[in-house]
Formats: sequence, structure tokens, C-alpha cells
Amino acid sequence: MLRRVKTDTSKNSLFASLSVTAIGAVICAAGLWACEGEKQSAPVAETLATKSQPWFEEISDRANLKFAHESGHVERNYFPEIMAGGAALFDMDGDGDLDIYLVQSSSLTNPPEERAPNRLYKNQGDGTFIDVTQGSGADDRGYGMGVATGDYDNDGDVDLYITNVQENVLLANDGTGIFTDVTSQAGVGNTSWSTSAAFVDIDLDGDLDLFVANYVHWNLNDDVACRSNSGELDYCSPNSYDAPIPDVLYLNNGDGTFTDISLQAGFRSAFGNGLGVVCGDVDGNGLPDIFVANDQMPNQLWINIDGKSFEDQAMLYGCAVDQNGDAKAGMGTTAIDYDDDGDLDLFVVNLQSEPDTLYRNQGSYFTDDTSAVGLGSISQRYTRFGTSITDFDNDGWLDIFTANGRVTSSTDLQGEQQDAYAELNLLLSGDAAGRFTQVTPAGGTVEKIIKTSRAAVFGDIDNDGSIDILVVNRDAQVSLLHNIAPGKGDWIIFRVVDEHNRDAIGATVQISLGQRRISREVRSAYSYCAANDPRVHFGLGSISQITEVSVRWIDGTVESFGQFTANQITTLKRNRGL
Amino acid sequence: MKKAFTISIALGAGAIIIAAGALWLTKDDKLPSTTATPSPLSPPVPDDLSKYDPALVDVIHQAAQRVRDIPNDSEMRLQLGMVYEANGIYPLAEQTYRQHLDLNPEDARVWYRLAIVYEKVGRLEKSIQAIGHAAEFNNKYAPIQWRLGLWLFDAGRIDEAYNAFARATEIDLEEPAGWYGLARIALARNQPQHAIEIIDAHLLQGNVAPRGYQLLGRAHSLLGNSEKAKAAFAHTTTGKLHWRDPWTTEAMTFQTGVTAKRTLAARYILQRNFQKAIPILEDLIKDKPEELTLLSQLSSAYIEIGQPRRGKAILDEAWQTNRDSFQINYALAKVIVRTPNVSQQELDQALMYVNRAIDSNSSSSLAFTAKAMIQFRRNRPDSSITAFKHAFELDSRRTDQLVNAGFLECNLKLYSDACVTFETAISHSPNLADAYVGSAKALTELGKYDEARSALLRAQELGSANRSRLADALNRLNQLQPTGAPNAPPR
Repeated sequence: MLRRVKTDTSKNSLFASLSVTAIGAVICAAGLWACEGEKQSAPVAETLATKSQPWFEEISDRANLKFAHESGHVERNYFPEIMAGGAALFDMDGDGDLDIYLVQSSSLTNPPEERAPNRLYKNQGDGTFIDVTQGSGADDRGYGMGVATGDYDNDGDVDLYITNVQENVLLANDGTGIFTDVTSQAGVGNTSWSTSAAFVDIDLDGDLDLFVANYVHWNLNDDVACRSNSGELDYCSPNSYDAPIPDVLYLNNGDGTFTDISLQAGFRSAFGNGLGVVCGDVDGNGLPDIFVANDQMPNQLWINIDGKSFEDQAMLYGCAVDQNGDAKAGMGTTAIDYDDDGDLDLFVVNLQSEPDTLYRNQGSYFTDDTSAVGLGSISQRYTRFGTSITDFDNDGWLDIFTANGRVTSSTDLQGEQQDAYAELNLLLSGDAAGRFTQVTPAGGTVEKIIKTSRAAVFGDIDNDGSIDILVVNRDAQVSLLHNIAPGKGDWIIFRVVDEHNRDAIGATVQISLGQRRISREVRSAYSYCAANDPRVHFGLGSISQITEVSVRWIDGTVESFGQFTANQITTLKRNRGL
Repeated sequence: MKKAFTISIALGAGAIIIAAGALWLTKDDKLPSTTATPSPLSPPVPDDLSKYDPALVDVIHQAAQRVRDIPNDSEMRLQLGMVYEANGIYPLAEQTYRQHLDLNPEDARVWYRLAIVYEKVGRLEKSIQAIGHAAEFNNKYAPIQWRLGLWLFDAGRIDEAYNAFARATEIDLEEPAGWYGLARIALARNQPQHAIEIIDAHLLQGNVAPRGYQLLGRAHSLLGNSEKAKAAFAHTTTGKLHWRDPWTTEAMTFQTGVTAKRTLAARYILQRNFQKAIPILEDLIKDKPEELTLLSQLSSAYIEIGQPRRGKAILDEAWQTNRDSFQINYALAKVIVRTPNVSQQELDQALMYVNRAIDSNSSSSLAFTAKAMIQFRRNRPDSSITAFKHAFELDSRRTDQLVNAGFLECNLKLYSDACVTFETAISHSPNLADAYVGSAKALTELGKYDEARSALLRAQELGSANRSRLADALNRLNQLQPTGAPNAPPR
């Protein structure tokens, strides 16, 4: 049933494509030289036929989103320049649509006052955004990496935590999109080079704690000049520094302040070059665990023992290294129940020549399902950063997007672009069997976008029921990818809020579609240096009636909200169900 | 009408097959070029050589000239390809190997190299195609088969991967890569018991053992034996594993210039062959006198061969222009504290360096360890204890620093504090023998003789305690409570 929308479309397209291919092939047979321009060989025809229409159009200009990330690169290759670029999609003023926060980096050598600031854009509800940075208090000028969103003070609005190469910043929202820097009072000014961060209620006490991934000890005085094998100056790998920094866990004291409990909680017992963070209850004990994707070091899976102490059990669970036993270059990461078995699976994207890793949760350990779902070969061509496993075409089956860009220069330039780090992004379509195939046109966009992409942020910007993507590109304008996937199915989106009227981060929404049960968590922190739309989206295919919706709140209470019809955005508020 | 339709379909299908086959060798399949190739036999060279290492440019010129001199000698062309491959110029490596294959299409070694070039740029399907040709023309070289197996496994073609790994073991029964692949496939097929059999028989010896134990841990996880899994994982390491592959080893000998020298120096340092590392590092520093990593490595090498003052002189010079560098300040502090017979003034200087390092990176456990050692040598045990403990707080894997703090507390007769310190160390590292020795020492002084004896017995069981510390602790215990002494520690 769920496949109907896509299947019908596929049949028609397949017929048309086969006819075209056959005719083309006869012409080619007359002179092979003429065929050189053809990029696809015959075996690809079926893939082309089923996936040959773009799923996204790039609309940043149309949306008046002119922001261009600046790495600050001039001559010398300073390490952070190749890693930076974060963003958030969040509703800053409670008007029901997603606004945008873009983290700027600018120059590492200039003092902060001479750097370009981060930017805040308000969604005007008409498909355009307006820059409201001035006077908003959100114009931090640290050398920015990423951002986390969450209502840390339970006042009903979304606050921002910005990760920088130097001191991080906590900005408290007054509910209208005016922010105050409360870093010092709150005690969360981590000064290490931070990357991704996540607000998460680790002790289930009703307020959001804060986990911050740190990358490498680096400062201008210790910058290492690295070269490629052929002797060209290039960016370093973290191994050139061999200086991983422990991650930090701040416990929310409930009074606007936090306490750094990293040591007591066990986070000093293992650490790596942290880049990606995702939180969720991996072991099913009711407490949120924390997964950190480390760059060229084993990943950590911090199992939450009792709300106050954690143990790194990544090796035991089988998600520290890949199926070859290698510690890969973990960049972005996400967690989702991709096989509908009720537990959280993990996904990590990596460097060129290293396949993505899809860790399938088997209860007390993970199996590496990367090859089994068809991801082993597709992903290796690129260096992937921002990512999500999301049902972009609402057919009921999860798809994958990765934002790509190299970290070392390449002579293997793609197309006409001059950026030696630029690569195509990757869009993979998932099917009912759980396998993924590449969508063409490559990257899924009307026109090829070849940039050095870092954060990819996911959310329904126009509230039309399909997930759009904001991609931050190094030294280039952002890409705002509006979802125009062909033959989209039905959908439903839930905003899930707790008794404080804040997004119930960590709660799980389960829907019943006949015999099928689908679970998704309320989560904003995943991908790379990104804060995403925390609303829970389900693609429904052709099903227009959901027989049951329930929410498992973070304290374990399950609340039923009954039946829903498709194609609506609705709020599930705690204690308003059955 | 029906027949005509059938013929047209057949023609169409045939044309598709021809076109598809031809595409394998069309330019769209190739890595983008960095140069124009004037004729099929003319060796490709980069358009712009100025950006490359001068030593590499020389080697490219020489190798390309040899190809021009003897254009039909495929060996010369292979060497040029390997120069490009070993130095990361993959598009030209691909072009050169393809030229070679035009001359000698059945050369398995070149198909193999081409396959590896494709792997380097993440084109797995093309790697599989190319290595398939290598396998066609050589059925005796095991790495062709295990690499094919690895790539097929990545591509999700499990049954084919199994066959490739099995062929690798048939070619060379002693080849662990094939067995490793077969064990992985057994795990992927949810056959953990079969995986354990393979691992037990072939993968728990020699340099492959850490990976064997990793697979063993995963097999036990699949079987639900979490204790056995934990025990197996305790033996694992996670560095890149390099299987034996003489063809690739040969290709890598063509690595040239700075990178090659760095690689060689790093290898010597890892082997603790500092005498050989030093001239290479000095040579590298001639070209890059400002590079702190090299200076730091050279300084450390001099310390290791017993010439700490020479090591310090190198760093002193670097410090003049890098006074805020963590790396240089830390290295200077370390070199002083490791130098015998240093003056109080030098130790004060070391403290200044380490404090500057900490100002730069306050999360470095290593810096606090260095500070603790400096304070110890400055006869400031309180400060030393604080620094050792802070080093542990910053990295709780470093329980050895807690043990140092505990022994210093014993020296200060702070036995209760020492007990707590050693207990903390034991709770983090239950197999750390010296922590039990320290605990016994403190407990003895507190009159808790039975507990002290238990701790000493545990230290003896573990067998890795510092002998003199163990003997001292035992003697002291026997002195205060002569009866029921455990056996003397083995010599």
C-alpha cells in the first residue's frame, strides 16, 4: 500500500526512459565517438528511470537568503578553516515557522570585533527571509563552528548555544527573537575548539542539560603546516596534532546555571576528535545515551547508567569502529529507527574512500549494515559532513542526504568549478526493502550544486509537509533546498511539547499505519554542527488515516493521542492525550 | 509485424550492450586530467609542476624521460604510474596505467594498481572492475583476491566476496587477510560460532591478533556472551591494519620528497631507532626551520639517545620566535625535567615553560603530568600531588598519575589520603598492580595489615608491579606484622 505513489510513477518513467535509451543506443552504435558524452551506461537505465526527476530546487536567492560563509582563508591553511560552517532551523518567535541562524567563521587572525557576525534570519511566511541580526543580540563574532538549540530555562522559547574555535556562547531568547549572552552566568563557556553540541535531559529532571563535542587542541601558535603527498600546502588531518580534547557535559542546575560534570560522569575515560553528536536511548533503559562520531579515532557510545554517570561502551556495542575494525573519520551522525523494530540505529558519515557506516541496533549490540543496505560503494566517492535519514518524498520509506566537501585539495575537479574542495552532495532514495539507491540528477537538485558543504540542516521551512534542507557552504552562499520531490505521498508533522511548553527533546512519537508501527524521536541535534527542526515528520505514502498516535515521554509515561488524518501539522501537548 | 518488432528490440538491446561495453573505456570513466596528453604513447606530465615538491618534480622528469626514450617498454611506464600513485597524483597515475594497458592489456599488476588508484578516489565499482581484470590474468597473487573480497563486501556482494576470500586462502594458507574476510562474512551472515572457529584457527597470532580479538569480541556479542566479548575487546587496538602486499609495498617505494622523508622519520621514531631518525629530521628542518612539529621531534630524538641538552638547544632557538606555542613550551619543560643533574634555576625555568603551555592548553593532561614531575624535582610534593591528580582528572585513563600522587602522599605520611587515591586508581584500573602495592603500603602504616596483605597478594597475582616498590611494601608489612607473610615477590 505504502509504495503505491512511487510505483505508479516509476512504471511510467521506466517505459519512457527505456524507449529513449534504446533509440539512443542505436544511434550510438553507428559511431561510438558520439556516445562519449553519454554519462550513463545501460545498466543504470532503471535507476535513471525511477529517480530521474529532481527532488529539490535551490531557492536561496529567491528566499532572500544571501548569507555566505567565510572561512577566512587567505594564504596559510589554518586547520579550522576547512571544518567550519554551522546553522540552525528553529522557531525563534513562536509564530509557527522556522527561522534561520547561520554561524559565521570569518578570520582567525583578526580580533573578534573585526570579524563578520553570525546572522539571524526571520521567516516572513511568504517564502522569503529577512535579516534581523541587528539589535537581536545574536551577532556573536567568535570563529564559529556550529549551534545547538533548546529551551534551557524552560521559559517556552528556544535558546541558542554556539560552538566556536574559542569560547562558546549561550544566548537566552526572550521569546521574540531578542537574545542575551548569558554564557558567564550559566557557566558554559567551554574554551576548547568545539564542534557539535546537543541539549539533552540526561537525568530526566525536566530541564535540558548540555553536551559539547570538542575536536582538537588548536590555536594559531600551534598551527602545523601540512602538505599533500605531492608537496602542495594543504589542510592537516587531526592526526597531525594528535591532541584530542575531552568532551564536556554540563548539568543544568535548574536556576539558569550549569555545572560541568564531565569528570564525575566519566567523560574523561575516553575521548577523541569529536565532530558529530546525537543523543537517544540506544539501550532502551529509559535514559538518553550519547553517541559521538570522532574523526580518525574510535567513536564513543556513552551509555547512560543512572542519569549521572556514563560508560563508553562503543566497542562492546560494535559502533566504535567499522566492520573492517578500522576507526574511520567520523563527521556527521544521526540516529533513527530505520528498520521499524523499535530501537535506535546509528548512522555515521565519513571521509572519501571510507563508506558510511549504518549501525543496526540488535538490542545489546550493533551490526554494521552498511553494505547490506547498499551504502558500501555509493558514499565512498565523497567526504561527507551534514546528514540526515529522512523520508524526503513522503513515500513512507527513509532516504538519505549528505552534504559533501573534501578536507584535502583534489586535482579530481568536478565540472567547471575552481574550488579544489568542492563536491556534489548526495541524495539516496530508500525503498521498502531498506536499501538505498542514488537519486539522479546527482545531488537531487535541478541544477548541480558543487560546493564545499559542511552543515546540512533539515526542516519543513514552508510548512508544506515535506522536509527542506539548508546547506552551509565554505566560502560560498548557503544552499536552501526546497523540496519538490515528484509524486510526494501523504504526511503528518507533530510538534511535541511538554508541560513547560517546550519541545520535548527525547520523547518518542509512535504512529500506527495498519500493521506497521513507526517511531521517531523529538530531536534537534544531529547531522554536523547543526540544529534541526525538532518537529517529528512522518511520510505516509498513500495512507491518509493514522489509526493511533502515542507519545512516550522521557520519564517513560506513554500517552495516547488517538487517530489522525494525514497532511496536517499538529501539536501533541503533554497531558492533553488519553 | 510482431517479428519486425522483435528484431528491432533485439537490435536495440544489442546496441545497448555495445554502447555499455564501450563506455568502460570512454573518457567519462577516467579521472579528470590535469594535463593534455599529446599522443597515446606520450607520457602524461602535470601542466603546472611548480606546486609540487622539487624532489618529486625531478623524479617525474626522469621517469617521464625514460618512457619517452623507450615508449614501448611497459615497465618504464609502470614506474611512472607508480611515481604518480605513490605521490597522490591519481589522475595521472590512472592515465599512465591505462597507457600501459593499451600496450599490455593482460598485465595483472597494472590492472591491480589501477584498481587501487580508483579505490583512493572512492570509485569502488571501478576498483572492482579493474581488479576483476587483474584476477583474470593472475590467479596466484593472494592480495588480488582479498582486496576483491574487501571491495565486494563493501558493495554488499557477500557471496562473491566469500568466494574471493576463500580463493585468497587457497592461494596462501598462511594469508590472514583471507581468513579475516571469511570471519567477517561469517559475522555478517550471523554465524558467530563459525567466525570463532576461523578466528581461533587463524587470527589470534602475530600482528593480526588485535584484530582477531576484535572480531572475536563481536562474535561473542552476537552470541550474547558480554563478559567474553569484553575480555576479547580488551586485547584489541584500532590502528590501520596493513596486510602483506608486495606489489603495493613496491609502489610505495616511489614516494618522494618531503612526505617520503617524513614517513621514514616517523617509522624510525615508532621503531625507537632515533639514531636513524635524527639525520632525516635535520634534513627536513633545513627546508622548514619554522616547523614546530619537526623541531619537537628532533629534540625528543636527541633526548632519547641521551643528549637532552642538545635537544633543549634546538627548542631554545625555536622558543625565541614561538613563545606562546603549547608544543614548544611543553617540549622544553619535558626536556628539562628529563635531564639529569639540572640546577634549581633550570627547574624554575621548566616551571615557567610548563605554565605557559598550560595557559595555552589547560585541558592537556600531559602538561599537568610534566608540571607534577617538575614540582617533584623542585621538592614541592604538595604541588606535585595536585598536578598529578589534575592530570588524572583531565584524562581518567591516566591512572598511573594517581599512583604517583598516592606514593607522594605516603612520603608525606598522608596515609588516609593515599588510601583514597589508590582506591580511586584501582576502581578505574582494576589490573594496575602498582596501585595495589601503594594501597598495601598505606594500609600497613594505618595498621590494616590483613587488607594490606590482600592488596599485596593481588599485586603479586597481577605480576606487573614495580619490583622494588613491591619488595619495600612487603618488607615493611612483615616488619610490622611478621606472621602469615605471603611469599616473597619473584625475582
